[in-house]
Amino acid sequence: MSSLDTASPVTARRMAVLPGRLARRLQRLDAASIVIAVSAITLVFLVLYPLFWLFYGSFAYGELSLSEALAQFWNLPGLDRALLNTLWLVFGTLPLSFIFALPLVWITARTDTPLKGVIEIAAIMPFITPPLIGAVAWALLAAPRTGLINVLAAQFGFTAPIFNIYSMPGLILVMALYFSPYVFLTVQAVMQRMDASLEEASLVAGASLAQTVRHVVMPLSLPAILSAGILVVTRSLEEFAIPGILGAPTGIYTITTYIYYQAISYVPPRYEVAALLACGLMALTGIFLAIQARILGGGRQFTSVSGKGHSPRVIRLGRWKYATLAYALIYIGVTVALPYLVLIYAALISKWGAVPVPTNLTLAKLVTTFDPALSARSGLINSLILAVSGATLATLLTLVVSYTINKGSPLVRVMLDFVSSIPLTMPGPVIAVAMLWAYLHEPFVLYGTLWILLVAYVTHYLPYGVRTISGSFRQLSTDFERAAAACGASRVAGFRDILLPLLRPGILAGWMLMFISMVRELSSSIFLFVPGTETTAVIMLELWQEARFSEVAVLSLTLIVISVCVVMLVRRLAGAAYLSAHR
Amino acid sequence: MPGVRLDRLCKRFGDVAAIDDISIEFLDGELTSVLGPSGCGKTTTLNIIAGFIDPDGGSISFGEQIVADAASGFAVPPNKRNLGMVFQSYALWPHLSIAENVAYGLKMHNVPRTERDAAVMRSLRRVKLEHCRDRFPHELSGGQQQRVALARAIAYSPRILLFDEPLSNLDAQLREEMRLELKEVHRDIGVTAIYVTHDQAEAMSLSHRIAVMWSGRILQSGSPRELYEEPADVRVAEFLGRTNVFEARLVDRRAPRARVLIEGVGQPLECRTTLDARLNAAGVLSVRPEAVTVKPVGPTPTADALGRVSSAMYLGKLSQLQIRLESGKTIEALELTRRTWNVGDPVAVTFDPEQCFFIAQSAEIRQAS
Repeated sequence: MSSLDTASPVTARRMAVLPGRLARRLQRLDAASIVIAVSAITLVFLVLYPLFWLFYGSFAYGELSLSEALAQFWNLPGLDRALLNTLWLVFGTLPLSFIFALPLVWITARTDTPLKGVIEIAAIMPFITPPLIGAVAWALLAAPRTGLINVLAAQFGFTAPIFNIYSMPGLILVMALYFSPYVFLTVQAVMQRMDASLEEASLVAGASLAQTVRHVVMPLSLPAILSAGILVVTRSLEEFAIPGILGAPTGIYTITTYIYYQAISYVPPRYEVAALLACGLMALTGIFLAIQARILGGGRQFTSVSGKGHSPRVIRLGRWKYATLAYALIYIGVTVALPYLVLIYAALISKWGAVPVPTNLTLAKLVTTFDPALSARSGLINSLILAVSGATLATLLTLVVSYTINKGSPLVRVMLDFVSSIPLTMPGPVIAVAMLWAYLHEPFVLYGTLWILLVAYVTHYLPYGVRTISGSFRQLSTDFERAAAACGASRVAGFRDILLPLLRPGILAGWMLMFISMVRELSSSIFLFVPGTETTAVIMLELWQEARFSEVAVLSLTLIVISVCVVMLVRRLAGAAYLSAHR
Repeated sequence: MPGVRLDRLCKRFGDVAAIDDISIEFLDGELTSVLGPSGCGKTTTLNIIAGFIDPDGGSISFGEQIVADAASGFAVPPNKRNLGMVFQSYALWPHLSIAENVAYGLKMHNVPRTERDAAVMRSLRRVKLEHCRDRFPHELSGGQQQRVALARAIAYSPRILLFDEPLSNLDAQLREEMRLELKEVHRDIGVTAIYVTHDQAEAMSLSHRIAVMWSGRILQSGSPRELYEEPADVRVAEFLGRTNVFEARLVDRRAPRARVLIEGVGQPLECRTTLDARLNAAGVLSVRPEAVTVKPVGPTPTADALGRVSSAMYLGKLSQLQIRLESGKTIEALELTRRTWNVGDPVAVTFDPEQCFFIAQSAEIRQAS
């Protein structure tokens, strides 16, 4: 090729270009950069501003200094009990959830038990049921005097209640039932992907089945089991609804309910103590999540657990398969069938404890619960407004943030990824305590409005959105976007015309996940509502305390119907999007 | 149509120089291949030309217009460079029909709707896919998808066409067909084209010129014939087709033939070389397998070297032989199948001076790669 001639036009044009980094930056400023910058700043603000208040503001601006708060902290009545209860609850739930879930994993992954498909779906059903509703249902079933099981037992001549759900064992049972799907999903994923030839190799080498399980299956699934265990621990640590419904009435407080009942809604409120407890809870969650991230990171070296692996060996159970089926059916009965039946019973029965024959059933409660004069109606409206706007705002924000995380410079990527995962370490009560401080003070006074709930929801569920949408971004080849740019599309046009339609299923899934989490939200709403801004879950807790079981049951069923409708609607939309992409 | 000029282009990723001071001009209206092994920086170069990556040093100009200049930080964004690009992954947008895929660039270039349809059809006709306009990418075969990608890239008559290994996802037979088709389309539209590939046969058959890239540098550029027959670097000789390489020293450089002494052969061999090769220069002699004539050892003592057949592969029309010379070196010969060779047969080999080329290049440079 010809060598370069004297580069006069080159130098001439170089002179015309403005010097300096700023000018360079300005030259490249387009609509896309502005949107990205605004979204990134919003994200960082949403997460870090309340954190600043939680760590610093609560002591700098509160009535007590840090040392005074600490002094008060050690002398709080009942705090030691609450911490001990939390410990009991967490470490009781952990083994029990494994005891419930592992047989199901084995049954669905390795045996020829009939109805495996149904069992598999049923095993994750409690996952879909909000813990609040599960707790309500179990209280209706096994409250010492009014619980249907005990009522029934009394008719058979039992003088004392046979099971009291308002107790530590009751709490543990309900928690384990509703958290066992985490174990099921995590461990089952590994079991299904595990290459069966590894087990066969061990058997061929002369190991017994027990030795194979011990030396091959266990080590390979250990990362998943540990990770599931940590998930259960963090979830039970931050759970509010179950101890709120089942523990608080009889004075069994855990950290989360203690923060609410003994610090925030105590008269006078102990805000500084709440902040201290929130910091502690956040630190604990953070530590557990960090350990989990390490385990999952280390788990990647287990290359044998690859995506391909051929189908695992199925153990023929013979007649025993009816025993495993029975186990699965009992699990389904206890976690899904009984609770839903009791909710329907409670919603329709005219007199509690009556036999459910047509003459004793009424639809009246379905109407009276939503009487315009009562708060349930406005609560439901509030929840819907918050969930729709919150999920939409969070989706828009996470969309831009996920784009930046996937396409931005390494520094920006790491920073946004980190900041957007901070809320994972903040259980609802922690978010709420931070929000209370941050948005009670100038310049952002939001307390007493729906806005503070909206901000709390968006902050709390951001990580879910980022994970879902970021995941679908990663699956898209950069070539799609580059091809658009080569065709002359600006970044905004390429995003609008190419990336957005391709991301639609992921965006819808993220929106759905956030909507469902928000419409049932309790653990931060309970701290942030004022009369007039109650949400459905808050109303349910209030009605529960007034022993208005039917109304609570109606609201529970309403929430579930709304969630199911949204899931179906989104599946339709996402399905349509999929079809339009692959027509 | 403007040419594309890279002037002292550099790009580093961390400590690795992906592109190390490249200057080259891709001539107006020609198809130039950038050929090199994977990881040599050829795709990075293409991405920098497209504007997807900014260079760390140097500048790029399309004709008289500078599109990127590292010194001033100036860079025209990709969408303003008026180029067309064909990707290895095809990158057809799955949610758009074939016609919509092709029309997108026209829309972005503000071509009025009335002219757009005609241009889409013209472009699809050029790749013989006008009957597929209402289908969707996943309904097409790999070869058809790649043709749509080409139609999409040329629809709005860009001034520069970029190809990133466009044929490497296709099977061998389809690849050859597509080569012909690509060549035809390029001849019709006569746009400046830059074609990145690791396949030397593809580069040889398609290009006006080839630039051979090796760990971030351009070793040599020129017509396929120049590169094949007069490689400036032993790596070029080895990358473009197969060759036997001998350590050699230039002992006579009178025209028209030079003479070199090679390891293990007593008398000087005749060969060609460049004009600037100096007497007594050390270097290598590149002898293409087809330049090696193999005969059974006979009464005529005109052989350049003697040896034995160490492997013989019958390929049909051609036979490929490995011959272990008396010096201990094994060389490859490719000849029209005339007789059956057996392993161990003693043979006499002669080298065709026209197809032997002396590359004056010191051992240090060769080892540096």
